Amino acid sequence: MLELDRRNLLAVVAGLIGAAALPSGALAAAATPARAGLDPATRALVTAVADTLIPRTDTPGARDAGVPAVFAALMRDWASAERRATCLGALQAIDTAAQTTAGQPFARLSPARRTAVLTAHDAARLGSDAGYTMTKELLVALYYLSEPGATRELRYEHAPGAWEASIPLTAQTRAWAGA
Amino acid sequence: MFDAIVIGSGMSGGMAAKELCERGLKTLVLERGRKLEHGTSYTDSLQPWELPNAGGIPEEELARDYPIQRQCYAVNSATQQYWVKDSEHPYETPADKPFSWIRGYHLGGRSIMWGRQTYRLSELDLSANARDGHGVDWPIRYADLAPWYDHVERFIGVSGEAEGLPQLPDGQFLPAMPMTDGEKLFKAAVERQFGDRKVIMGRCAHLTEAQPQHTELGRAPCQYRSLCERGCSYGAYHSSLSSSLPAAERTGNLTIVTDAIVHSIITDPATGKATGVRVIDQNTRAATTYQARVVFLCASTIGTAQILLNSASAAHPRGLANGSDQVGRNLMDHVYGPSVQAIMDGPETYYRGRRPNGLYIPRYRNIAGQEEPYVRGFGFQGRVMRQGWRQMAGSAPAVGAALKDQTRHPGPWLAGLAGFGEMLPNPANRVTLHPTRTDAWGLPQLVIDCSHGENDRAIGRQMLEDAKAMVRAAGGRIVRETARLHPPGLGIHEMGTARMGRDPATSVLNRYNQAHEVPNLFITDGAAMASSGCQNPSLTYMALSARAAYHAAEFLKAGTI
Repeated sequence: MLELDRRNLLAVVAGLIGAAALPSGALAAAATPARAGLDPATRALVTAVADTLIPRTDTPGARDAGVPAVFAALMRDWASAERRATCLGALQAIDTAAQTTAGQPFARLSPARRTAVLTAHDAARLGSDAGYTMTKELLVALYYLSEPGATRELRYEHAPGAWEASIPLTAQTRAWAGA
Repeated sequence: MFDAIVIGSGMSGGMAAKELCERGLKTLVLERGRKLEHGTSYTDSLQPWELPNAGGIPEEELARDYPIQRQCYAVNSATQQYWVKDSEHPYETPADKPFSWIRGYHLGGRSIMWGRQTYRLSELDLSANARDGHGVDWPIRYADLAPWYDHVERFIGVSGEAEGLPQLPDGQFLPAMPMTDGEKLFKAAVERQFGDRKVIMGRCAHLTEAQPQHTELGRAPCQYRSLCERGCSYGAYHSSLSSSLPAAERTGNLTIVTDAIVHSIITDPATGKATGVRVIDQNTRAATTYQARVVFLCASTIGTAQILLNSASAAHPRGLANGSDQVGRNLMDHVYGPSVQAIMDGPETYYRGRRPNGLYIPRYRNIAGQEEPYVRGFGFQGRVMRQGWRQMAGSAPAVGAALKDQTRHPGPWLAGLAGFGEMLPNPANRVTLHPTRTDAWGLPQLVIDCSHGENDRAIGRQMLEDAKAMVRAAGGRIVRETARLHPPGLGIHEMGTARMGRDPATSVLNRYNQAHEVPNLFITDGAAMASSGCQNPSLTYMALSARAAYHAAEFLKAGTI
């Protein structure tokens, strides 16, 4: 891949890779806290949000793909204290929206109500709320990087073996997956 | 006692070692980093769902240990092993002059993670200093390098198309990788609107068809995985591990010592020649001395300067081979940063495979003569591919089945262009030894003082304007543009700290990459470059290395060094 590709990739996934955007000094100064997993209520919230973002349809959904567990592992093993606070705060805001508009925690809502709450939240915040946008990008990326997301929802070949520069594109053509 | 010592096992050192070994010289390669094994050390088998932390290095570790390296596009959890920890390898810069020194200390050096773009310098480039007076005249011209470009290209394998452009000479090419239909449309539009410009397929050191000289080393054709910077178990791109060191090894003349940090080069005051190299084991810190009849210094542009400066002696008080005071000076990188992205209409087609290569737009400014308010020029790397799942998922608010539907289909064509501009040699841009600070092995730390000049900035501005005009010519709607120059270093094309030249008073190396003041010392990495061109430089380092190895072997035979 040429350098431009990677440069673009880096910008697009800065939220995931964390490579370009964060002030290094502040993070370096932050002591590594004792790493705990997510508490049960937060796990339930993550699972509900991930599975509402990417539900099972004709292909597996985020929960089928193990996204909630990978997200929890990333919060424990990868995220800085700042990142973790941002992600968990963005998820809490979804829970607050559920309480406000539907009177219940997000995870207790029916799938249809979850979709309604999250669709409104997403429309209001995607692009304008950096914490929400990054958290959504992360959950979405974990799905499309997962084996079901990459191979059943999208298409992935680890070693294509050939470069076919022009193939037909139809309404049925799935996008290529890959990191 | 060896015939030759090669300091460094990267792009230049690997090629120097191969050529010296093939000329019958018992050759010792010293590598400061750890040993890597071709294949077994690589991480290219990892599936997307197997990437540690989904590709991310833990953020606090990244901030603590990789504050510089993290700026490089190729740093992620699958490649983490290839980058130095900045926390273990500190250097200083003036507060207002950041320099991004991107590097890896292991057998093979940056030849494992390089971008693989492979271009020749031209007569235009090699005569530039003489023409406009910046820097010193190269002591060689294109005709001196051409046979060595041929020689190296045949060995490493370069995919590309012959175009007949004098400013970007053709080479010994394996079949080019085809363009996407979006790229063909972009090429036609740019060439129609701008008669002076060509959009060509990138030339890259990948085997599109393996030749006997490749297969006999165990190299196989490119599988179009684009996982290259993890190391390629197929050996489909040229690296020291896949290609040059195995070729050296099979001669029976090669010895490799890893974990061997070179402290300095030893010279004999009586003869003025180099006699050997002082080495510190990076693990035990034990000191060793190796002796040889000839020394090749290929420690990378900045590392090479450090070793020369640290090899001061009574006869060489300013550092070895530094009577000219040019060692460490004239540090260059390519002017890099300005780029655009644009959504383009195009044919309803897609592609299969991940092509590890892109488009190239060779230099077109100041070709016929000095026509612009700045000197020299620039080229572009680019591509026109469809927007992928990440961009499509984030392209509009969507949740649930709607989000899946929005992400499932290939997106619109996205054209991207990034400029690479020639940076002028400036003696004030330099590397020096820190007067007091040392590293963990007791070697003086470096101070890097380097910044862009007005000509470099003018090139950066023109690159952005031209990139915008070209994507617009193809009907592109610009969705992202970047005007900012990256700090020097981040182009990862640093060069110039021990330049070639005709005059020992103003240069370090002669026309054979031989130190003016130390006849059996050859420097063939980026340090040797008297000017930067705007082309990716690795091929030139390899051609200089092969050429210098030939001459060194001849001089040894003749008894003149």
